[in-house]
Amino acid sequence: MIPTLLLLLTLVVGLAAARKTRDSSDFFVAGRRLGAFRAGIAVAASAFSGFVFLGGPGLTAQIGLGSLFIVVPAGFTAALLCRTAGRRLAVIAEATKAQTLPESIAFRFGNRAPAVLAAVAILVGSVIYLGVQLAALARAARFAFPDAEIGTLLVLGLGILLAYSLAGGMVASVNTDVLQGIVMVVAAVAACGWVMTGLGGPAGASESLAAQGPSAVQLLKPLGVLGPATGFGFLLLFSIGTLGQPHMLHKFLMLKSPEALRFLPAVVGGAQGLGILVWIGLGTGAMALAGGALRNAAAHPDEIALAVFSLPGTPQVLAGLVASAVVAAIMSTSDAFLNLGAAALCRDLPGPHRRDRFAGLAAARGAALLVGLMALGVAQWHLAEGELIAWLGTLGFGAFAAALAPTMLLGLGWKRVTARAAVLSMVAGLGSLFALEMLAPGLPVPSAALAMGAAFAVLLVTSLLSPKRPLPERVQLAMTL
Amino acid sequence: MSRVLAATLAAAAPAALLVSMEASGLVAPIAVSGATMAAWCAGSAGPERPRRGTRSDRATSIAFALILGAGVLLAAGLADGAGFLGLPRSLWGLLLGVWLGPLVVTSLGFALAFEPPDPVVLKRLRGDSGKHA
Repeated sequence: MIPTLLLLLTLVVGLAAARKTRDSSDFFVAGRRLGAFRAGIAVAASAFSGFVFLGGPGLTAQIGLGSLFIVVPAGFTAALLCRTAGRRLAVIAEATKAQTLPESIAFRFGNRAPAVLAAVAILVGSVIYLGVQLAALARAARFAFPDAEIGTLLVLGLGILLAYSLAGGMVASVNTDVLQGIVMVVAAVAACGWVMTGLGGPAGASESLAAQGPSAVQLLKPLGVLGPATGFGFLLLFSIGTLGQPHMLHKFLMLKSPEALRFLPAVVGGAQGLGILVWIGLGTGAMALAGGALRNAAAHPDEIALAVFSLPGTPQVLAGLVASAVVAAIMSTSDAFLNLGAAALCRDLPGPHRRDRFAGLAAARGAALLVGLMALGVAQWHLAEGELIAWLGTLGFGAFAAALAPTMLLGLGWKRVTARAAVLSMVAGLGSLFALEMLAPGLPVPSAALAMGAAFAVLLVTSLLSPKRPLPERVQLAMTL
Repeated sequence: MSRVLAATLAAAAPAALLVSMEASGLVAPIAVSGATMAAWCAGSAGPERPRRGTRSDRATSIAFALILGAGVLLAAGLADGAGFLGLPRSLWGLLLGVWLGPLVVTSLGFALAFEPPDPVVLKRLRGDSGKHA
């Protein structure tokens, strides 16, 4: 009942935004009208996906609290983002009216090559990420409606997403993000409180795990069953790698003024800090209960978060609230990627001469529809393969980190970085990630952390070896503000 | 050609370093917190910034470095044992030193140290944008 209400409310809020969506600036950057609160909640909501609400507890049940290394960096990544790439993106957007990250990159380097490469990475990554989110939505819906056909649920989920996203673009996305973000935070706090109370607090959880044997106690340590290289590799990837996440960076182009940056870390960090409670609470609950009824209730590890709330004695309102938060987390990330993919298709990939042909709202909506259909194919593949959401989420996050983090951190702030260095860095990051995944699976260090390190090294070395060239005055000004 | 070779060699070096982390429980946290602080400092102490940051900016960076460093070392198992509420000290290190401590320090520190872009320069930048668009 509560998830259905949330979906209806999302549709109403999203469709109402259609009236405020008159041109591509409204569709792609919400008319550049966001203050710190709306932008902050939107950043936090789009960062929290099915990865956090479904994948996290499932992963924790398998590897223990070592999975926390993925989410705890959120404590400082909001300020890191605002201090580095976010500030420069806000200034570039203020100066050039850039509507996409590749447009900002093209302005910085005065060259289309790194922008096109970034657009390709964003398009491919968006389709994959969106596909995984749709699959997660279908999986969550099937948990609630076990008799329904999963293909039907998949199409239904995409239909709702397309209905408000095509109508209202980024205005709809941000407005629904605020609604969804609030639902997620409330559900996370309530779920964590209920589970921890049920277990008798941290001490009770500790005793419960101790009763299961020495291997269960190990799950409660920060590294869980992970080696130090894996745990700290996650920490490296999910802290610095945040600087390459387009769904978060894109929000900096929507600020009404760079002044809004001042309180953005507090809003993003506060919302994410409370949201992470779901990972800690449900993850601990899943570990403590994993041996018994929980395993029987969940057909797939990704259903463990929902299974915790299907156990006898759970208040119906809380179960509904958590299910709503799962839907909200998935929807808020999905609409961001739908928009990003569409922008790459109709603004960044067409050359400057053909861009005018795709400048209108109809082209933006057509591109978003195409991205949604491509993602449907990925979702069907994902459901057939049965991979963990957390695994694919890490790979998607890692691909963006390896491709974009070096350029967004160093490229926007250091004048020595050349267009060639940015291109080589993106190629090295993506190339080494896919090479490692194909040729050396099962490394102790997350392959995406290695790929990101390689991309940083290539950017640094190529820039240092390149001759110094003066930059246009506007670019210099934007980099020093 | 030499640039391509140098870039390839440079790409292999951090990979080798990260793989070697498996060998020592303390190399990994030190390397990761060092890399994170380098990224943090790139925001204001980069070679292109005209100033080295205000006093509150430097205080935020130092506090962040100390909390994060202590947090990752505890999380790696240094001085491990039973801690508050029966949970391992290493877990408290992770929760307080990597999550909550940095959340408070960096959010508040950023707000206090924030300097908005110079409005005169910003106006010039916008004006130029109009001429060139």
